[in-house]
Amino acid sequence: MNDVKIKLIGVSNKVKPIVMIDGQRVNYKKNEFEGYDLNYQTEKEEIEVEIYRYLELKGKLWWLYALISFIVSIFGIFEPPYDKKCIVIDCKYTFKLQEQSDIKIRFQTLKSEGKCVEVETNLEMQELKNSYYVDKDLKKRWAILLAFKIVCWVLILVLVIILISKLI
Amino acid sequence: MQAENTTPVNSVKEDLSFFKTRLGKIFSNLSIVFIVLSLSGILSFVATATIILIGFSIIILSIGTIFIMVPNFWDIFAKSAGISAQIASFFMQYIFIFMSITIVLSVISLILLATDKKEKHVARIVVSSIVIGIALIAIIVIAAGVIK
Repeated sequence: MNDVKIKLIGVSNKVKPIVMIDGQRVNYKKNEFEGYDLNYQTEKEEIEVEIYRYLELKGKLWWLYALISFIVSIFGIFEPPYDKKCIVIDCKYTFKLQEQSDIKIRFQTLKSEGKCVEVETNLEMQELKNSYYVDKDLKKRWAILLAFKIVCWVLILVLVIILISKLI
Repeated sequence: MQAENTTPVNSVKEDLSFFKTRLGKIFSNLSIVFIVLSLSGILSFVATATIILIGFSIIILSIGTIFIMVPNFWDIFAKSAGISAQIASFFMQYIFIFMSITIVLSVISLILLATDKKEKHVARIVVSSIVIGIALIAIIVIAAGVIK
């Protein structure tokens, strides 16, 4: 059995990444040094670690959830905003394991392009993907959502004005 | 150059989980708004009392000369006290409805946020608990007839 200890450093609360090992999501815990620890055990000699970021507008039913949120939050007034930057974390590594494997993954500041993480380990590894980038499709969805909200707000405003003028 | 979009697609379960958290936050925000509306009734009475107190203080301190300086002082004073009392009576009339909505919203947000396994929402949970506490105390106080 191989023990894998992964330390995630520099993770901001805003961008809590999702870590997947061999296609399965793995949970991690906060340690006392403001970082996160992830312990994993496997019989395999090699693992594939994938890191990505959850973005609410990426789901298949994003429009439905956005619409319900908009209505429930009284036309979007009281809803938490959707991520405007739409920056994606795209990170994939393979590691050849030893009986005791330590991996340190240091996150870079969130930016629209460039390297996403720096990995420190004594293991043999291969970097398959490592980048931040702006997802243009999500950006488009965000813009659609904003346009929809503006149209709704204008319509509501017109309706209110008509209603008030009729009452007076 | 736009990188190829190869990150995993959100699963329905994951989407629902994040949506649940979003709803929890919305309900938490709404509960704060409703507690403010609920308390407006009680606070407006305080505002009315303050206006009356300030008005009479001015009259006493100026030994009545305020009526010479501002001839329509009494009208202004009575009007502002009246408006404040009207607002207070509106909110007091529907205070139980506002309080009930506040409690329901806070409880829903508490359930949604406390059952979130991805993230801890300590601050919001504390705020929602305080809101429930305030709403319950206010209901008891009003029901007991301390404030009419």
